[in-house]
Amino acid sequence: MNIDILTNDILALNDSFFDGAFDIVDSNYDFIDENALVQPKENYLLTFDFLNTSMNHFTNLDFNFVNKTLKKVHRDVNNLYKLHLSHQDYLSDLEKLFEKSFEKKIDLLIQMRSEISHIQNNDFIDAYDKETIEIITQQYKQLKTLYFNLFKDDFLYQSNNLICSIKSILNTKLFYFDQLLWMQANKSDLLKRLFKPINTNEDINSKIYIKHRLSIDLPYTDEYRYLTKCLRIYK
Amino acid sequence: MIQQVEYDIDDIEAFLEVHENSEFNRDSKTLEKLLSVQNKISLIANIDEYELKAMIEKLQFVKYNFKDFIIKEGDISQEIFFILSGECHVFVESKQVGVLKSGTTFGEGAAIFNTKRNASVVCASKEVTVLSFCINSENAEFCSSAMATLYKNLALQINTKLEKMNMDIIKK
Repeated sequence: MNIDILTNDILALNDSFFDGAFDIVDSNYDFIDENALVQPKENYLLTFDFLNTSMNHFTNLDFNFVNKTLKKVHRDVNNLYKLHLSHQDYLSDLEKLFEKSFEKKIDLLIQMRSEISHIQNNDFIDAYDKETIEIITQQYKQLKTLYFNLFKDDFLYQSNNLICSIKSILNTKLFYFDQLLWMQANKSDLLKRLFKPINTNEDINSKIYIKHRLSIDLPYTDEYRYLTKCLRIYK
Repeated sequence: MIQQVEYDIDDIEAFLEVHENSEFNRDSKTLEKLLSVQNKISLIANIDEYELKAMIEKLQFVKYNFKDFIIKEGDISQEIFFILSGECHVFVESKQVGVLKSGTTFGEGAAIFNTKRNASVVCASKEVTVLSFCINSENAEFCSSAMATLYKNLALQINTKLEKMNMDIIKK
């Protein structure tokens, strides 16, 4: 068996699997470069839940506070977050993914499966047929293992590249989401009432809001621990 | 596959407004100023620009008035100072031991070796402007060549100071 043929089969399938996601990454990088957007050193990924919850909470109190750009950025970060999670999920069970999305698309394996089912569909299966089925099944398993190993190497490489890229894009977008969220929230009279107990003359931002939340939340809860971690990002 | 969000010109203006107001942008402007005088600050001279950007944090221009303490003996703080204008006096146990003029770096020893300040520095002119910054120790671990240059610069500085002291002793 020529290993190059198997490798090419896998490369082509992996390329088509990642194609759409890499298109999204490329267009996002172009957008960041063209507009010279900030690529923060801090890891804003952790703040996704905090920002998302705050956005939903504020929208419930005053749905007019959301302007067109904030709405778009909110949708954008949610989409990117889901994309990043889905690709991370694939890594949890590569064998299942291979069987579900790749095995049925490999020509050599398709041929072998059809040979087996062709014999099995015969009205009368003799000892020779049974032996042939066993041999092909054995060859199929070996070939599948070979394909899986090739798939795993290339998939992990491409997947890591993709996840790192999405994370870095998401980091930039979350930074803007954070800033835009507070820019809009500080303009809303209804939300100003919510912020009144914070008792500050400054505009409210994530740092001030988290500090306030920590002052009223119960310590040692999961939320308290999570917000403490978020606060470190806004040091 | 997710549907991509399309941003129009209004959205981009909103993004740029964030950029203009962000702390990040203020930091990067201050950093650009530091890079423009990098080779005048002997401690950070000849360090690769990108490594320097990664290593430096809490960069700011600070103005002090006459008799203001810039650092106090015994304090623990991480700032390194570069005098842009004005003059400072150095005190050890309330006794004046030196004068620092514009273009001088101070505070680097305690900042790099994480020790207490061994002298106080007090503003001696009507106004002193300093550029203060810290070394981000986490990032510094990944900037080995920059750290090597930094230590070399520090050794050169100490050597120059020792030579000057020797000359002063000889003159006396």
